Amino acid sequence: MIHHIPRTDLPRTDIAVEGVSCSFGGFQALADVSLDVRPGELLALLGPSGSGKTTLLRIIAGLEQADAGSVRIGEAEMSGADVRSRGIGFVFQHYALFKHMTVADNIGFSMRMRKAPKAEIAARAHELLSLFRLDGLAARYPDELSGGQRQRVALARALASSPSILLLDEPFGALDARVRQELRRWLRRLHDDIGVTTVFVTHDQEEALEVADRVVIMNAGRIEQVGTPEEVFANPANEFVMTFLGNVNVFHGRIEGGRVHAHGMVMDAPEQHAGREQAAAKAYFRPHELDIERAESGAEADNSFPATVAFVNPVGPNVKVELRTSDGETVFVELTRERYESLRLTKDLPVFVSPRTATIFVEDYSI
Amino acid sequence: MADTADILAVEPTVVPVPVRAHRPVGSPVARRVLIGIAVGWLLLALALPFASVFVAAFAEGVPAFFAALVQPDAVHAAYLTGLGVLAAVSFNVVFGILAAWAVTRTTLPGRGLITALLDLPIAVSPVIAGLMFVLLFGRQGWFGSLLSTLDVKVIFAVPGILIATVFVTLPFVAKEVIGVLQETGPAEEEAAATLGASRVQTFLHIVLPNIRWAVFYGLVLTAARALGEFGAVSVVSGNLIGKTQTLPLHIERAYASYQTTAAFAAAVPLTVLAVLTIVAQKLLAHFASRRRGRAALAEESS
Repeated sequence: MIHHIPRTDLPRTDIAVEGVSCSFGGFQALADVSLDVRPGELLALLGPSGSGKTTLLRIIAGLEQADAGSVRIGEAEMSGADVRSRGIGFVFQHYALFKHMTVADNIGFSMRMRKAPKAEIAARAHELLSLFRLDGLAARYPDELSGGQRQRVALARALASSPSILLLDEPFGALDARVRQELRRWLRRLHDDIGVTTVFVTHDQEEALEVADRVVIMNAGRIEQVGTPEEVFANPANEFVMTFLGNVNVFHGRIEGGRVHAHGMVMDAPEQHAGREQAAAKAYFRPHELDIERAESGAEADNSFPATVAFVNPVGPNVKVELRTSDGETVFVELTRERYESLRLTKDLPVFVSPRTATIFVEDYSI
Repeated sequence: MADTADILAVEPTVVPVPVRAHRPVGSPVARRVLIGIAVGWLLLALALPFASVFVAAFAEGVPAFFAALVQPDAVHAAYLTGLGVLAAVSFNVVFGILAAWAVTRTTLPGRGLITALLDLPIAVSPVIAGLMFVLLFGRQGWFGSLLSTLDVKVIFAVPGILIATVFVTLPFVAKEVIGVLQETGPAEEEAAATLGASRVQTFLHIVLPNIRWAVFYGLVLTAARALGEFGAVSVVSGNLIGKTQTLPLHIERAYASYQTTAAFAAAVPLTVLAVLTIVAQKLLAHFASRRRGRAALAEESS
């Protein structure tokens, strides 16, 4: 939808966060966080509420002051520098549009504040209005817009002053599911076109994995893992990342003879832990990493456990099956449609569950 | 890739939903009786006394009314009352906004104390408020000797009246503005800062437009209170005819000395101003709530 590129000369600025700590009262919001944002990338800060992701974004912006550590944007050391001097564009969670100004005046605000010539303001506002498909709405007030329109006005306003970096706090948090989906893809394309270094905060792992070049997973004021969506999803650094990035089934087990035995299943132990006989291990399975076999189709195979079908949701490209084990645990399995149809699953049908692949975490020695 | 844009363009915009009135409940007879009681009581308690002021003011004829209005003591009292209103309004514009700012947008340690102190002028009887100033600035008071060496008279003089008036009107602007600033939150101001606005620009372009109705509303309340203040002013002023008498004091003195026309003639402008205050108050509340209503509606449909 972006027909012309607004600023091909936008600087590609990097951001370096070093050893930043921040606490509010007795609450440690960030503990010694370091992060590099590469020039021109679209980076997601992902984490549950209270993980410190918004605090980190606000510290980069200068809206919050760190207790320790430093922030560099491009060549400039920004620690202690005023928000106004940082050359950032910021989109607030609820947009923070100026209620008493029209859409056009909102967008032109930054240029009016630095007393740009009226003609220049009008031209730039007009350019942004058409870029963001807001042409007919220039004279509207924010409370006369839908959520998606407000979101685009907020983005246009933030980009009006040609910032060197763009920071977005839960940019899609206040929108309903359908509009979210559209805007998500649209933000990705916008970023591809204007290429400004962008950091956005989200608690929605799907959003982060779908939109971002790299994802920073945060928890309790620390960074758990940084990587591309593929990296963090396929090779989670720890159990937190594994569980946070989607549905999982967990089984507790032990290492015996270099293999992990858990709930009737046997899997190779991670190489570095294979020698740790009797160490406690947890086997994690995403729903598509488990397979189902009808119980009558043969004797109980090795490397599987019995369960019964509790619920089937056949809507969508994959079929979601909920199983109940003999000790009452719930197990989630996702099957392809063909597999589901060949199995002819019905409620209360006895089945065997076996692993395709697993992610194993061996517990640290602790006394 | 125009498809996304088309989908975005047909998003629903805000449509106001009319609110349906409640259906009346109960038998028609009971309803009429209850309405009759309510209206009757309003007539008896409000409209009649209100009308009686005008009847008494014009009882000796229109010329007598105007003569009473323009007698020097009444004119001076009106002048002093006006001065009090002016002092209260101009002080509270500045103090109210500053106090509200300090309470809602800073992390000053004394914020809680300011909020608590703002309730003091409402909680304390005006007479006691007046006495406090006598104790502070009177001849025997804490600053009495200092003031007498400087040859400044506060108590039983105009400055005392102004101080007392400002004191009793202290909370009105501040409380209204605190309410609005708390409701709007700091996000718009932060947005202005990220867009390069200086503190002064942020105040002029963002904060002031957001709080202006609250400031006006607070000032209307301030003016109303300053016009009618009796207790605190009567203690600090000494009630000297033609010197330290405000309109309410003038009315009371005239009434006590059986000058009925003089008393009620002076009461007429105060009464008229009170009615105007109520009208202004309603209009401002209407403006404020209409804005808020529209915002709430938009919030729902977004």
